[in-house]
Amino acid sequence: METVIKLTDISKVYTTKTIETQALEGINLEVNKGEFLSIMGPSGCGKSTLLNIIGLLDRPSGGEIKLFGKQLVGLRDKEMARFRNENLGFVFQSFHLIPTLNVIDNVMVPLTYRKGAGDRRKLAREALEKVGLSHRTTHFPSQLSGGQAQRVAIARAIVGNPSIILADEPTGNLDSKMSEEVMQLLHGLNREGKTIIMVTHNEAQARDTDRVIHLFDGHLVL
Amino acid sequence: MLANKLFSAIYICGTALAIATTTLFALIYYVKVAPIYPEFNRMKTYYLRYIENGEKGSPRKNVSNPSYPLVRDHLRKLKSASIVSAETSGWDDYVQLPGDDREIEVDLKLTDPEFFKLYEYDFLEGRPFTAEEFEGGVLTGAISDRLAMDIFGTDTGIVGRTFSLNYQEYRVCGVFREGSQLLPDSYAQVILPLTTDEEYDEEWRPFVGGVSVTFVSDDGKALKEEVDEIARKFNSSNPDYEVGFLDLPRSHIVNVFNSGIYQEEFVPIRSVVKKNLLILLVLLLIPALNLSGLISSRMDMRSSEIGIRRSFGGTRFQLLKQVLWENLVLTISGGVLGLVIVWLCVLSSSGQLLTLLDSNNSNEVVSFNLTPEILYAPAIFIVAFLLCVVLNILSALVPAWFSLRKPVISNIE
Ligand SMILES: Nc1ncnc2c1ncn2[C@@H]1O[C@H](COP(=O)(O)OP(=O)(O)O)[C@@H](O)[C@H]1O
Ligand SMILES: [Mg+2]
Repeated sequence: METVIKLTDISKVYTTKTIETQALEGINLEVNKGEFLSIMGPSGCGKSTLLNIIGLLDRPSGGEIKLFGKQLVGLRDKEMARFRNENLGFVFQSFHLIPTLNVIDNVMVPLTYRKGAGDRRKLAREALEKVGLSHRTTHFPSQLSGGQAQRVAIARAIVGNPSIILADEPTGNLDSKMSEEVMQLLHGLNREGKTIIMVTHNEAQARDTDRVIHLFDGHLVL
Repeated sequence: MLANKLFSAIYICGTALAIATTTLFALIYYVKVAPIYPEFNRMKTYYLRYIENGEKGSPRKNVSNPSYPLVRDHLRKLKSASIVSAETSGWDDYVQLPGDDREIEVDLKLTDPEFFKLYEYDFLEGRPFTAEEFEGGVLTGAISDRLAMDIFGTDTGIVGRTFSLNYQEYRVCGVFREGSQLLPDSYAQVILPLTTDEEYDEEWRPFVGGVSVTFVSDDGKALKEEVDEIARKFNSSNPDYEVGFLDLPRSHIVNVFNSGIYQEEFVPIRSVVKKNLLILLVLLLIPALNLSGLISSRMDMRSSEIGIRRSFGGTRFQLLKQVLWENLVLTISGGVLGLVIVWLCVLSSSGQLLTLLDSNNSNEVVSFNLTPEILYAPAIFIVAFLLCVVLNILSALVPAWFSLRKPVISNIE
């Protein structure tokens, strides 16, 4: 089994003017290639923080992150941006589509930051086809239902063909029918070989994945 | 979307206001100070308009105008002046329109041929009066194109024709492109030889007469020394009468801020500059404060987009560039609008707006001639553009830089 993600002794402290919050402490974690991992735990236990640190969206206060064997803490902004662009795809709870761009332009965003991406529009259309939204390319995010918006967000996450997908409560804002659609999409992607880490509150969803880890108060519990 | 449009509109208007007030300010001083048509020699121009004179030892002396003989016999010989021109302005002068019993008031200057070297008027046809015409007191003169239109209904083919000024016939020797009343040292519609005035070389007392003298010199200090030497020589050979040149000749820039006679009344240029910078700062600060408030609220709006773009591979540098460009489009739009506002205000006030900062607003001119050199002054484009860049840096670069220094996730949320 190839290890694609390896966290060693990761900690995170948030310091504000009034308080210090230890959001994560002593996290050790390995994720294998092609694995579908769920992270569960009560609200405020540090799930999002962990996912953001894996996704290089936030800096850990201590510890090491290796993705594909590459040490990533302390990399320069440009190198991190490139790494995110080529290897990581994000799906957020509240979709985070850019409201001033239409569907296809939103999906093309990752490709605008990649040299030699080929026919960007064509790739975006293919990604939209995969999530079943090729007929909605010129709509704006405000004209989409929550389920559609999240499928567009998934298309955006996969358009650059990253091998890791990070999803933070991807169904948190969706009703059960829409959640089902999104989960089927994620499982499909996993079957194609993508490594997926998903934060969820839903026991049933977690049970369907390869492995579940539990966070409590910033610590991993077994 | 709507909020975005509203923001853009307010931002553009705020920028326009800042640009309009500042460029107007710049334009006012540009017209006063910069070398513009026909006063291209301003940087080297010195004025001598008064001469102090009276009994030796008396505490309070007369201040009078210099005389033409002083110019002819002494000032023209100065080594440090390349041009010396004597001039007197008429007042209450009227041109009688031909075939009509109407007359129009005109601005008249009586001067010497040197005047046309000092002030480089464009002659559309003909030429200035010559040295011979000047010496001979020939009744001939140059008139402006606008006056030519008023008198003859055309501004071509007029050289050699005559016009009536104060019921005296003069022959037209040339037609020049009119300047502006905003440059009163050079402005005239009719320019005649000083010698056409019978009393031109009269002296009531030694060196005291009725002209005003203008020099072009590369060395103001040497000029001052030479002029003072004339007074010293005169005073040493006169037991009971003395003259003095006060702080004169005075450079153009000093003259702009100090039209008074005595040095004690003088406002030091540094304090004028200080005052003006203060005004400018207030003019800029009010809109800038508004803008920065707007920008920070907009940065919040845009922050999420920046975070999203960063998480999908945008670098800090790319996003900084994006924010700056988008904002520059707005700022430049504001700048263009600001310039349009300035033009409309200056035009609709017939140039009155450009006398806004003059303390002695005793000017009875109601409508100023606005030359292209004033309306399209490069200075106002430069000021407007620089201001756009500064506003853009303050309002976009600084907040964008601070926001981009944070981790990506804090942009998104
Ligand atoms: N930017 C921040 N500044 C300060 N504290 C934060 C910040 N983000 C998260 N926290 C704190 O860190 C802890 C973990 O938060 P988070 O990872 O969002 O939890 P979860 O996603 O599991 O609900 C919480 O106590 C939260 O208040
Ligand atoms: Mg969370």
